[in-house]
Amino acid sequence: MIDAREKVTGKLEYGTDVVLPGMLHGKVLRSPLPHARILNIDVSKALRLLGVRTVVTGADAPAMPYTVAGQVLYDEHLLAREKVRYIGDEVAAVAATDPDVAEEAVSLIEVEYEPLPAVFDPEEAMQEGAPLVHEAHGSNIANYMNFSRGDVEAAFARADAIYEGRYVTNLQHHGYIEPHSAVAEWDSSGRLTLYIPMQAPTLARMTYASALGISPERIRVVQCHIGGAFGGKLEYKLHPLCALVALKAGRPVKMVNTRREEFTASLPRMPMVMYIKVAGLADGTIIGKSLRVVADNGAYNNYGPGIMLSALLRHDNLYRIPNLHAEGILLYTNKVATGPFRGFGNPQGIFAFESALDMLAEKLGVDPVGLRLKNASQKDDLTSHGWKLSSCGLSECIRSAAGAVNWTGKRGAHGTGRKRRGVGIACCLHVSGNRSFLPFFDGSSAYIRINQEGKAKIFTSETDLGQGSRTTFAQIAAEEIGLNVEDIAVALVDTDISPHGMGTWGDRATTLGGNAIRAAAIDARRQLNEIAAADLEANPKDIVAENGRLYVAGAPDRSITIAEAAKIFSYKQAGAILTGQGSYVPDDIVSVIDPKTKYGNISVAYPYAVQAVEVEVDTQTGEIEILNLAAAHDLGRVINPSAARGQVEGAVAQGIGYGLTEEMKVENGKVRNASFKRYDVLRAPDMPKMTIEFVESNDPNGPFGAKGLAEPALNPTATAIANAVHDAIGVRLHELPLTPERVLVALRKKTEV
Amino acid sequence: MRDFEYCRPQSLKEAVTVLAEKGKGAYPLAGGTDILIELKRRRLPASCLVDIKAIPELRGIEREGDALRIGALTTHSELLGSSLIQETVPVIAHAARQMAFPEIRNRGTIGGNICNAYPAADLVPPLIALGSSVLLASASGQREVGVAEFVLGSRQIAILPGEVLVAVKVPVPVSNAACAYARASTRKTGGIAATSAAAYLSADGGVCRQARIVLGAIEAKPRFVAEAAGYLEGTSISEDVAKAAAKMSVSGLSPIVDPRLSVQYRSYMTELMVRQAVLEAWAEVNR
Repeated sequence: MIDAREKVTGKLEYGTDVVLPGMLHGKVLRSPLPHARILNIDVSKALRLLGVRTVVTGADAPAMPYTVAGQVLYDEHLLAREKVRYIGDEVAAVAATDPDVAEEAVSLIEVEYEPLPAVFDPEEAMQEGAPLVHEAHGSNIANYMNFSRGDVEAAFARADAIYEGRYVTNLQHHGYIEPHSAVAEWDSSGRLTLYIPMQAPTLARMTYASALGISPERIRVVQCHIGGAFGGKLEYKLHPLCALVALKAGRPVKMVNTRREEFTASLPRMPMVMYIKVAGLADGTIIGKSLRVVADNGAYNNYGPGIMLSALLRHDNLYRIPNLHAEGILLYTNKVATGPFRGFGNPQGIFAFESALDMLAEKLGVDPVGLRLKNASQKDDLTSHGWKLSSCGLSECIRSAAGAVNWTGKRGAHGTGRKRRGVGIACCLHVSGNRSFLPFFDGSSAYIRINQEGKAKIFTSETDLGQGSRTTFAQIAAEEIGLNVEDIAVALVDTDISPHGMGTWGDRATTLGGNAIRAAAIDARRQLNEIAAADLEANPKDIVAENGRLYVAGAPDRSITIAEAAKIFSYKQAGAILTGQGSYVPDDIVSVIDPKTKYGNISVAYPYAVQAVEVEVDTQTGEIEILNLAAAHDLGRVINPSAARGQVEGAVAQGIGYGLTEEMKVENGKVRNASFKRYDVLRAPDMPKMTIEFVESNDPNGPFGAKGLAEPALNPTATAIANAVHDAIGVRLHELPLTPERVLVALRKKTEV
Repeated sequence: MRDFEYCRPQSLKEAVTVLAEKGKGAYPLAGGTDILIELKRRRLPASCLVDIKAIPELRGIEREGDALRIGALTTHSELLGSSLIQETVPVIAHAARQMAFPEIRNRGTIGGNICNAYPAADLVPPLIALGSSVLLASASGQREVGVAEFVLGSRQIAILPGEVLVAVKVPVPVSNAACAYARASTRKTGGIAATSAAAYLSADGGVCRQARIVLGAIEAKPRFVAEAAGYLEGTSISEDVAKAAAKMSVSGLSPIVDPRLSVQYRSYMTELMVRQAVLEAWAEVNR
């Protein structure tokens, strides 16, 4: 890792470390009520407090609603206007000389509310007469999808077995250690600079321009080092709100979320209620599947439709299933808005689908591993949804994970004592970039500058979220240029300097960003070769590079350094810096998915993950202990082994949390466990024994064959545990997380039957 | 956070003088693991923090006759690392180990764990079951109060203005007596207790002579369950006896709300914890 030393010594500066001269500190007043009309806001007491510079309310914010990049439902304002829609909704904001004064001022703002009836359950929100979260929208249904492939009813009619079930998933928080923060500064020409830990600076610039009602050209986004994001650090209201406060204060302003704010007003994982039906033939062929999802958007839309879509269809592409039906209903409720989170709807859909597959296997009397292998998609398949699988290591991953937990030896051997053991498995595939996100472009571009000292700097729009993509990028460039990794730096994204691109989400950084960086490196190397060829009196194509030196193949004794070549370039061009440019545009970019049928190839490459676990269930306490977890991942090609392992280990921790312990408990719209003290993320001693196996399928579209890894590593974990619990104690759990209490209740029901 | 004064007395005498002077808004500050959070949340009306960490009289673990005197500033890490405690009241080391993480155990003190009076405090149930007391000092002198009487409820203690907790006095169980502590949480490590139970048992000729059972975390205040304890006394404790006593322990509980878990599950787990603590203590007695 190129920044490991700074990180482990605590010296790396994050967003919260940014300090500007004359900077003020901002705080947000948030709604204490889930749904209420704002009758009056009195800021006079707050303004009288010594040290308070300004207070802004909805009246100071642009009247035009906005939404996040590429979405079409404009339902947000920087500050609440007529009403508040969830506990945590932004009502007013303050700038003061220090954070304590700002906090004191927030407590002095008096808001008169008229409480309105609220709705918290998405299935209730669908009912006639339910309170409307957005009256102007006319209904609580924010989005509706309905599409089919083949003839699912005919498949159900001829099936040998059908399984139907209802599955429910939880509200999970990202749990990144670094809270959201922003520092905003307006210069004398009226141009805004935002220093923010942000996954996608270009998207930020677009969205915040619309939120602030100004041209994107007037916004410069400077990305700060990110202390964990997991999808939660895409567009976030605190950033443009901080800009609004700074504008009114006439001074730079910094705003940082408290942990409580993180747990009440960030964008956690979307809970879903899923009705699934799967059908199979006696020989284990899956012939049909239908899924109805009722998804809980929370108070605002954000990226909700995309998340729901992913839950509806992504997992279908794992297997060769010709007959499919999907219906999705996305509902507004008076709860915290949900948003992107590692997996982007996929873990939810997988919980329903991969649980249902085990139940179908049981009905058919076939082994769950055998069922999966029989139906697994293969390389070069065009799936029912139009996805082109240019590489596919799924079957190999299934065999690897099953073997690592001794599937054949342990399946069904649960014992009869107080503690019972079982094994379970679950699969997933994911994307490497999701081209359905923004209609106008996809791909990535980069440039690399090499200075007279032979040091290279990479400029990309793909951010490092802490996972180490900067190191991976440096490795890719080093390979092509012939420099050592230590001589390559990767700039943080600055929209005034860096290329504009999508940023890091949807597993796109290594695949798309890596391809662009590789192209830029090849371009830089071409220029270096020309200079070296002239100097060494050779043909540019005969030049090889190694450890920062260029020489004619077979004649390493006579060489020039890359530093010397870059110097020659610069002197000849009156000080210009040798720059390699590269772009990567996925080749069938025109085939964006059909907005109605959702048919179409959405990514350049699909990574796969299969996880198998062995659990021990204590039938007296209901506690589930994971004895062994095997993660097999087709990531195309491993570029940085330790970073790849780190991704899987972290994702598994988050996946176990999703499966066993993590749930934001919301009661009447209020998050009751809004702290790490009562919200149980896994810590190092909680981690089970784990084996990780990488399957290298070498995708033709990835740089050196590489595909995504970060999201697939979480997707199947919770479901693999649920399937193992079913093997251990013979009960199917339909709701995440799999708490001891749910285990006991299910066991009790089983004995009563 | 509101403004407050800060002072750091060097002796107990100086500390009680300052506490008397500053009056109601003065709070002793030890490890700070609770009080600083309370301050930041504006839940503590403190105008002055009296940092007691420099006071030598509040440190040390010593044997005084039939009891241990544990200085109020003794951290959880010191408790679980003390060979004297391991030899005489190992249950205290065991309970200290359950609390939070090494970082917090290195800061948090026994005095703070008691004075914070958090229902889920891990040290309190075993201290009460052992019959421990606290020594309090003020400008007008010293007094001793049983921990059971000192902890009045959630975040309520029987401390008088100007008083500071100096030490905890723990009776060392006699050779045919033992104390055990069991607790349930939502996670393997570092989780706050969702329910807990301490059992103190003494035996005579294979029969339980004296029993004290204390429940923690489940109610606002640690609860003595006299009926279950009485049931154990005079019996030779078996799995079934422990089970029956555990069942008695949870009748008539008024559990406080824990957003993480339902009341039913916590009551069920309370029963299991009582059973576990009773059986462990009994095994120890008969070792």
